Amino acid sequence: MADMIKNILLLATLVFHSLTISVQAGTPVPADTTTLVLLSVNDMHARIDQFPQFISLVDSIRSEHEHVLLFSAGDMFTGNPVVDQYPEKGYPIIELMNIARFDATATGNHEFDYGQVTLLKRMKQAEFPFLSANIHTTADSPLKFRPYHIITLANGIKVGLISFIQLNEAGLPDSHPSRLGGITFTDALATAPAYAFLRDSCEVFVALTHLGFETDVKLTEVFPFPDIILGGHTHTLVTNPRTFNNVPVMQAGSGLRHATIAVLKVANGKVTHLETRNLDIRTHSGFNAEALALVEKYNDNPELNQVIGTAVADIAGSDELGSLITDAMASVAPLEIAFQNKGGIRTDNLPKGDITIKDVFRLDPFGNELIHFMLSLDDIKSLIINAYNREKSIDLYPSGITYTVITDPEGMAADVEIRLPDGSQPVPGKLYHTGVSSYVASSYTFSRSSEGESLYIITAQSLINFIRNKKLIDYSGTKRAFVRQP
Amino acid sequence: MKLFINQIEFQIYRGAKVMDAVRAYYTTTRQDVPAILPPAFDRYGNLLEPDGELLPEQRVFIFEPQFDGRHD
Repeated sequence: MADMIKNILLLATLVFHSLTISVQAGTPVPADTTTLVLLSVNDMHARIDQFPQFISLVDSIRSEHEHVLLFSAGDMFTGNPVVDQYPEKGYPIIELMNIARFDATATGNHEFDYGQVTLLKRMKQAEFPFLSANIHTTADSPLKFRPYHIITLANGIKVGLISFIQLNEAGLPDSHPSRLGGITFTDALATAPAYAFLRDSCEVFVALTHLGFETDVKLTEVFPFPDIILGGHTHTLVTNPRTFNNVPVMQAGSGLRHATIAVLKVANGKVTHLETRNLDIRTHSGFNAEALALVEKYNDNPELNQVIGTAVADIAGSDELGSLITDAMASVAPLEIAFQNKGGIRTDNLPKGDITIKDVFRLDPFGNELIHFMLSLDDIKSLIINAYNREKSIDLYPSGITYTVITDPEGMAADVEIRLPDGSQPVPGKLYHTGVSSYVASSYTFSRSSEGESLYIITAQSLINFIRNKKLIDYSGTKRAFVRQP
Repeated sequence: MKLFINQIEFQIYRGAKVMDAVRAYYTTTRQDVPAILPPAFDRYGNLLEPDGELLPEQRVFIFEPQFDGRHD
């Protein structure tokens, strides 16, 4: 097993190798051969800063080749407050994608993060189609996803696109279920074979997917028809391209740092040669001036200085700030109890006066998601005790309870007394809807009565919503975690 | 959601990202979680970026200098 791991790690270098496939190797290139360049990025996650370089790179490739198509393999939204907090959420990246002249995008799970009404607005503003063959809306829904799309090049060659979105174990894309109402999703691998006819409808057939690399590999087993799969979702940076069932499967990391380029030769109605590899966008020397000005404008976004509430007095120290953060977390349904770790509180003080969105991201900058567990009293005790024993001091700040750690002579937590807000003790055996950050969920040891699930909201967003709703914020003297020596 | 890191099977919450799984791996194997997480790779040797989303039963590999391929 150790050898296997070594082999995988040896294979994985950041040198980008290319994959070349010649269907008719050794035969002369027909005179009417068309060269088609496909460019694909995936999981941009609202990272607009790279766009000036990226558009310049795309333009330089367009200046060298007559036929260039530009695709996104989904998840353009969520991950940058400049875009996510813009009054028209997500619009900045749509505007930049229009300038880049994208030809199509797969629909990713994070496309639903702003809600369906906002997604519909962004789709109308986009000058490219949103594709997915396994998202189904009702006939009267204005939200429509094309299952496939055929692009006809100037010389008449047809390029067919098919797209699929990832579904989790619950049969839904990874976004909060409340944002997916009225939409049905079908399994990509079960849906795909119905679209086999597309193979004969076009000279070049591309699967532009948001399934994740390993599911793309499985797709080649039930749907070996595409000339290439350009995928997204798992943020996989393919450094050593290879084929699966004779289909190359590519993915270009995330955050617009890399792009996949595939150069295809098309002759006699089919692809005769294909070469693909990933490019590092950051090494490109040019910048598109229009995009540069736009990105600078968006990064100066006054919206981040928008006042969302008022601190009645200084909110100072981990007890007060931690209580504010966890009250915000616990305000997200269905949570009753929440915990915030000390290390996740990144400022010492929110001074009396205006609170802005920028202040929230200074306080909670990590982009941790809110994770929901069903925890019993014993589970909660194990979380508090293990957290305390990391540094022999209070580490978790709660909402929905107060607690007192009882230490042994060595200063280790031996027990913990927990009280609900009305002073009563939690009911043994009852399971409480408990929220923690994704950092605590993955790094802290505690027993748990459920597997847990992301609520697909970052803790900073819960804080923005909470402060906006509450307006006047007062945590003077708030303290909910105590230590007692026996 | 069931996952494997360096062949160790463990459960993690739905919606976990690569960095969450790597941290959970250290916690599960009772090791300190390093401040800087090691790079993660899939079974094909592709780099998995830290904020990458995970698929059920995905196999992830990380380089551990002290790891000899066995966990007792």
